Amino acid sequence: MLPAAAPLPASPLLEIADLRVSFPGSRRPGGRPIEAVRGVSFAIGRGEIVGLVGESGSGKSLTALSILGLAPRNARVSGRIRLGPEGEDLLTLGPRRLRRVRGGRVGMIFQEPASALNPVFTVGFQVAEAVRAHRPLSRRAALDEAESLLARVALPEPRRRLGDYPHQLSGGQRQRVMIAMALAAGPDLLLADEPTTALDVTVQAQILALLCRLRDELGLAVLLITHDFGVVAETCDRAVVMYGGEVVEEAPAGALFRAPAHPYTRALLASLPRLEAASGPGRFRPPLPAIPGQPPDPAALPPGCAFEPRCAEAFAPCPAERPELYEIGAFPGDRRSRCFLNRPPGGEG
Amino acid sequence: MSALLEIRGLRKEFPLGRGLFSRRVGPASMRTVLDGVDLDVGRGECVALVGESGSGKTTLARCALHLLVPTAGSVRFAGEELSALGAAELRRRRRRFQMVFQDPQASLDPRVTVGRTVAEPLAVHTDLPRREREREAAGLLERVGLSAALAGRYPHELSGGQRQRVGIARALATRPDLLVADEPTSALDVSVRAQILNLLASLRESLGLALLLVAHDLTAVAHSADRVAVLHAGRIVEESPAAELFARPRHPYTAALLAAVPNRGGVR
Repeated sequence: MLPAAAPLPASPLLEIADLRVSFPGSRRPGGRPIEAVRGVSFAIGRGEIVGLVGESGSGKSLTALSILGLAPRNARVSGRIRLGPEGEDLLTLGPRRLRRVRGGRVGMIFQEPASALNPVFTVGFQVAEAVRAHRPLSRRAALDEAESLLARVALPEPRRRLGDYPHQLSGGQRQRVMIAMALAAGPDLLLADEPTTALDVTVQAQILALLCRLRDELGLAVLLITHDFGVVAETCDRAVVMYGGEVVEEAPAGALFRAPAHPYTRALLASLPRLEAASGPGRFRPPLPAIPGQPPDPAALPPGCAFEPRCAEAFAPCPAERPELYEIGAFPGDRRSRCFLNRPPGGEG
Repeated sequence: MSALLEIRGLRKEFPLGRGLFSRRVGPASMRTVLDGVDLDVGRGECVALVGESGSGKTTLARCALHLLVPTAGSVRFAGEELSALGAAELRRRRRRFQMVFQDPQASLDPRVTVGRTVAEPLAVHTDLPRREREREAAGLLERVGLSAALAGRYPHELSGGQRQRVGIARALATRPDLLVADEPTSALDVSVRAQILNLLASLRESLGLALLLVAHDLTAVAHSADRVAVLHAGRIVEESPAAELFARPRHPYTAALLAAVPNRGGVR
């Protein structure tokens, strides 16, 4: 299911370089700004599904929101976000042009489809509105288009569903409607922020399968923001792992699960319970290899490696120095890891 | 020997159509959430209750503790029918079965220190003097892996994992025989979940606690449970020892649930 690792295309669809997001600190003297995203760089190719994985406070959602200029008002965002080879830096676009990108070339879906849909309008009206926001169609034509979008996301009986209100749909059906709206303008990229977290496992599997099918049929690229490594394994071509506001590891998904390079990824994957555990011997199964402590507070990050306080493999440089994101793959852009253990020989100083 | 918790023919119905905007015409129609459930939890046993949202698993957990009064059927704890007990009697029995909630943020009082939160059940259920209760609370905090020095802190000063440990310490205060844990790890960060699963396992082992674990995360269930009951639309569709259920699911719904668990590729 996971395609073999290939070099990144020469011109990626989306390129994020040195993205930083900070918030003003407390007003008291000496209150320093809080850095929630600390120099994030990665790229997404056309038709690629990239998983952006991390826990709360890792900066994954802020990274995604910044792409569309949706970071909170008091956030200071810097860096470069380029869409397409000739694309302008999205961070420099004015509100009007940004609005054309948003929902135009880049669609977005969220965790809670129930709260993202308007309860007092029909599904047909809302999808048609999304169509008309980006294409000059008559009401009637937009409604026809809405029906075919609903069919594309495999909502059963799309014609009849046009007249339904959101509360008449199940959670999975609402998420399909959200995806239909995100597809309305024929985007190149879909940002999906925890799209299945609020759904049951069987429905989650259906929605993930839908995203994979849309990638195959439309060549849609997807940035899938999630805390669930299982979702990444099931769906993604490549994974970008975030911790403490930084990218700590990036790898093709298959390679990430076969041989995680960063101690955080390694420890986290080892700590997850397995279905196979049930067949283990004895009444009390051996304890899981848990990671001690908790993810860092963005307002109180350690001076060195963000994972060092919880890391079983930490050594001399870790508490004081911040590791870089070292290239560790077969070719540039293949795999990266932000750990001194992965520092290339001669890479000191 | 009879089981610690014995549930027989449990039904729970809720009235429908009593919402703010609904017209009240005729007798209220009822929605059946639990439709004849039988379930046993033995002493020291961990039974997991799995199912999707709307399956009735949280309702079943609440009925098991008589936090909700069943419409019909019987819930016996240590051989005693709970519905036959008066309010005061029931309250006295409650010290033997306690609940751990999903979201420790919501289930801890933000204005009460951690130490007082943990000591409160002792004030309700025992006549220990205050000094004794505080000492007991400090011991409970250490038992769940927290420093006793945290007793003076408020919930917002703790991390999610620490808060869940406080919730567990509070549940342990009355030395219960049974804990009912409703999704105890699903509100926690992924890297913290293993800590809490390990804690629950070690408490079971050292205290001989029985655990009724309500969960939708089947990997956590596979790791923790001796026996698994699968709930679908208010009925138990399959109940087996964990090893058997995960290796050879017999009901198609169980098989579908297992098949939907995201596969972790190379690590699996």
